[in-house]
Amino acid sequence: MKRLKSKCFYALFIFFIIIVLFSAIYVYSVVTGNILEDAAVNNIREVAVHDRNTITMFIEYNWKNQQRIGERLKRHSQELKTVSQINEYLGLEAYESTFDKVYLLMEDGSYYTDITYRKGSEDPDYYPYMDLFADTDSYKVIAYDSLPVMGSDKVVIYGYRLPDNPQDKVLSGIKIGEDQKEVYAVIGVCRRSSIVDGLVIENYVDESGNTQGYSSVVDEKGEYVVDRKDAASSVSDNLFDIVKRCDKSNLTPADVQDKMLAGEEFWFYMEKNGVRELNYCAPLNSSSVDWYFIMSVNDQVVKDQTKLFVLLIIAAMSAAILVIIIAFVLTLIMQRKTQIAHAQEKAQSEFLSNMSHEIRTPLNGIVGLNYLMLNAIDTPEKHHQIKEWLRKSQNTAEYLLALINDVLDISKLQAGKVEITRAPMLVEAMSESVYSMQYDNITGRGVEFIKDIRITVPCIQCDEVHIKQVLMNIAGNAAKFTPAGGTIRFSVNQSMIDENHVMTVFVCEDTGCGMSKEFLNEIFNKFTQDRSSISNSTKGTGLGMAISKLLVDAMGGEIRVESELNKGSTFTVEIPAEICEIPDYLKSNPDEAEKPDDNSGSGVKAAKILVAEDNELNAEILMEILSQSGFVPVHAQNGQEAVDIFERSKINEFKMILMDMRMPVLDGCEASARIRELDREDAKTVTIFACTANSFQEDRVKALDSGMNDFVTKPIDINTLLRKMEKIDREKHNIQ
Amino acid sequence: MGKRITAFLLQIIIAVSFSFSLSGCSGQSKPEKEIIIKVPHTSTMNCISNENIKNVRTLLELASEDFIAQYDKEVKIKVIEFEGGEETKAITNSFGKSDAADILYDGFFNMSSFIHTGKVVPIDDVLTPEMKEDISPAYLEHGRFNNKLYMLPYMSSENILIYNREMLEKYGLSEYIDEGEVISDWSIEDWTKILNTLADEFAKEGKGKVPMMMYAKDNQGDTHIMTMLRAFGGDLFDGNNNFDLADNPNVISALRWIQNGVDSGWYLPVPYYKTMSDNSSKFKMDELAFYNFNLGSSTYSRVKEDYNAETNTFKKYGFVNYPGNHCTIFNEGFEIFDNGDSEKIEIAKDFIRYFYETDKWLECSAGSIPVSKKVMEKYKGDILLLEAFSQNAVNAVDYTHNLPNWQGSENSVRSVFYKEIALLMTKEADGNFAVTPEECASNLQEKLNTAISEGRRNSILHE
Repeated sequence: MKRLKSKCFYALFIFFIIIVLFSAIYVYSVVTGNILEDAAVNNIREVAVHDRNTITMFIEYNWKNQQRIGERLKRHSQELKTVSQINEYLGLEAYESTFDKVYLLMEDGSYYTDITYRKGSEDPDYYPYMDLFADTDSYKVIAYDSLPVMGSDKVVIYGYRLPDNPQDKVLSGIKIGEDQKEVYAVIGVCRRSSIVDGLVIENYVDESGNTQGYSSVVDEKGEYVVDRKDAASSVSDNLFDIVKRCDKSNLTPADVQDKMLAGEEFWFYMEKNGVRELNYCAPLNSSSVDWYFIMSVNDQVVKDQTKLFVLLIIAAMSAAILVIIIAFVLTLIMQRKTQIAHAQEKAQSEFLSNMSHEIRTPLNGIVGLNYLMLNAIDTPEKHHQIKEWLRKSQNTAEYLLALINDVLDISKLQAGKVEITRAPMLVEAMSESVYSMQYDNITGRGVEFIKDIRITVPCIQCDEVHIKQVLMNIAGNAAKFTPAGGTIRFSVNQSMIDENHVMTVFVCEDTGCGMSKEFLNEIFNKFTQDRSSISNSTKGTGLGMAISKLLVDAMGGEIRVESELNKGSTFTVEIPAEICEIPDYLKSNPDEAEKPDDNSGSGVKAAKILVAEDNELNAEILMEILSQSGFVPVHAQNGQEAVDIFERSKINEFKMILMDMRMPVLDGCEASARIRELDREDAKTVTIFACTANSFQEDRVKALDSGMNDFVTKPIDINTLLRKMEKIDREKHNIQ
Repeated sequence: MGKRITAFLLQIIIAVSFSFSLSGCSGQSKPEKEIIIKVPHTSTMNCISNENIKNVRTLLELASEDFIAQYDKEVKIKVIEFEGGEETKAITNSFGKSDAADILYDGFFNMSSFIHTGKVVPIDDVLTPEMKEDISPAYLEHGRFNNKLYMLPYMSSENILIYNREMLEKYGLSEYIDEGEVISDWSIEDWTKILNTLADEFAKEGKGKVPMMMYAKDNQGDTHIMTMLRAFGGDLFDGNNNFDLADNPNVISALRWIQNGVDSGWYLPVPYYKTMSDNSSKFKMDELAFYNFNLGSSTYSRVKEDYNAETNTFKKYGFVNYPGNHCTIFNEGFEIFDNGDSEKIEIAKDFIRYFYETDKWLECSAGSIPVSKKVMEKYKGDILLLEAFSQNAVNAVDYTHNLPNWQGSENSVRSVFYKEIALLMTKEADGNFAVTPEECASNLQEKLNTAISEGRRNSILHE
């Protein structure tokens, strides 16, 4: 559960970071997009200003042309008498100039063209040219849609009024025709396409070659002088009507008109049929023209221009963020590994420190006691005290042994070398066994020991040895820390997990000294002991609960403790297990294999045992123990010597061979293998027990693979040895 | 632990990325097909059956609305009008673009060049048996190339000259005037006399009047000038459909006759920089004696007013073939373009078939010369001069021969022709013409045949 919570936390944390980062990308891309859009819009404006200036220059250029026409007219005026002459003259002027037509407006309103002379409105091509100069301006330009002489082309009419100042000897007072009327103005007519051709906006052409941006010129009434969009079309329209008809715009037609009348430079957008158009509007920068320049660009152009940049930015940002996240995760992992390594290093250091302390303390005691005994051995009156010192030395040595065993257990558990074996187990029998084994220990301390075993599923698949180890440890602790007069309750109950599985719950409740809250948090750590005043007198390695925790975890169970200082503690062990049928061998005599039988060893006592042990002290101890137990031990100093002794022995002379695993010349496994290979009838049947201080799984496997029957750990527990010998004998007997 | 976190992280990133990518997707429905019909701007359309229809654009817009209403597919039809003579800009320059024409309605002489671009689809399958029965084979033949129908005629115009009979009468030329709905035929000598007489008299008037239309500022003058090149007889083409001008004495005589008209005061001043519109305006101001005329021209209404004014006779206007007794026939109709969408081609064909099968749209051709026999039969009594035009068809010349590269490029026949004619009428500072008639004939033959050769070389026909 804790692991799941941790995982969820990490997930949420990372998800939050991703959301924050992507939000940052989004905001950044939007901001960047806006900046780029502004840049694109500014770019449009620059192009628009350029086009606007081009148009203005074009118009001014035409006015200058009209001035030059006036100058030439002054020179040739005397030659221009008849209508035909004037028509031809104007035709040639038009041919040589930028105009399609050049007219001369006379002071009485009549005018000469390149094809006729007209006096007024009877002309089908009549236009009130005099109206061009209603104000004081000398230069005028207007757009006009219907001048038949220009066919269906829409035209632009340029007017240049000749100066009436007599001081201007170049352009004033020009008189032509038979009646010598004075020329009032020079009129030039151009097709609007002449302006259109100057408004090609190459910048805004899409991939298909379609123009997405175009320039237009409208007059003060909103009429298009030049509509670049429909340059090939004869259809004209009015800007204000277009604004009025569009689906959406940020300005009303009146707004647009007001701004134009005010001479403002402004932007507005229009949306029609889902197409949004940006329009840049600016007056032509000429005081004599009331036209407005408009550049319209499809909004998509701006978006297209910014889209690529924004996408690139998003891609780059995403890649960068991905790299940052990966780097962050890798850093976290490395940091975690470093922390674990440091913790392991620290734990190892602490472990070594604790081990050093825990081992040196009893060893110092033993050394000290030996010193005392050596000094007192020749003093008969001290013999009683020597016996007491020996007893203390024995206890200390046993404690030291238990400590070493626990350390080895921890080591194996942490290294994953403890194999959890699952075999049918009678829950009640196991519980009774624990109860009975702890009964004398507990009741002997003046503590009441109560059992409450309620079994619904008699037999389960589990590791009986390790469960028993855990329970014995817990019960042993309860015994240690419960003062006389207290009570220890050992209860067992079960609850079904599902149809095939059951949860067996072992509870050990005592009325002992209890534990501080601080200690409760540390209880399953190594070398942890409550140093409260009450428990100070007790003695333990401090590894028991750590071992129990590791074992229960390995079995998929859970161990927990509740405790209150000075009131007692309650340990709960929950073991999930598969339900199974009771096998026959358990039905017959379930405890037979485990119970030491005082009489069972009678058959093997006085038997000859070959002891292969290279360590002289260990060999001497083992030989003495075996001798005291009634066996006849024969010592071999290494594996090769053991092989040799066995080879020379009579058939079935040796009941058993205790083979040390690590020996010079030939190690125990090799020696066992050679013995098994000997060509004698007892070579295959003689019992060989591996005998070593190591009890790792691989040692056990190695020993069995070499042909040994079983495995006993040093120092030899004679009862365990006898029980194993009996078991081997029984198996051999069954086989036979 | 590290691997689990990394894997988990990657899962989240993939999930987030996927969700982001999903958010960028959106379904797009298939858009309706848009058919673009392009049509040149024309000032008027003399539609008898429907007076509201004043031009072809309006006709096609109304027909499109009806077609869409009865069509079983979702379509949109956009009619775009372009400036007359701007076919290159409106059609060729739009190839491959979103505003490319799917259907073009125009004069055959403007459309014939597009056949050779490979973009124009053969439309024989548009013709129903009823249509084949109704449209005269001669009209259909004008739309064929290599035995495939690329242009479907709708109506026809016959170009002749209209003249101001008051001017002729005023200056003693009444003998040349025919009464009634008659198209006259004068010899080249008659023409020379009439034009010289009028020019002299107009000069005396001093009011800027001129007798004969002439214009070479743009390519609009090719039809009547090419017709006038036949004034002294003969054809302009050899047996291989190439121009035969350089050593053609009739052509050289015609060119000389045209050039002499400049010095003789027949034309508007600076004729090489005059347009058809200049001449039209001049004619409308009663300052030009002879001008182009057909049933679709803007002058037609004046002719009708003149005819209907009092006694169903012409008082002011008369009609005559071009010098050499020739007229030109112009068919107008439809072409369909292949813009890479076969569905749009089929829709375009359906539209044209619908247009011809629907009487109210077919009858709008009455006003000019309808190609439909049944329309002609129904409206022949209502169309002034129709009978005269019909009888005059024998004098028509086929001046384009559906040759490739007739127009549409800088070196097309039309683009080359008017510039050479302009040079023919241009006087240098020394008072001499820029080219002699012989030089003009030689230049024309070389440049026009080059244009045709290039057209043939680049010709791609749509299968």
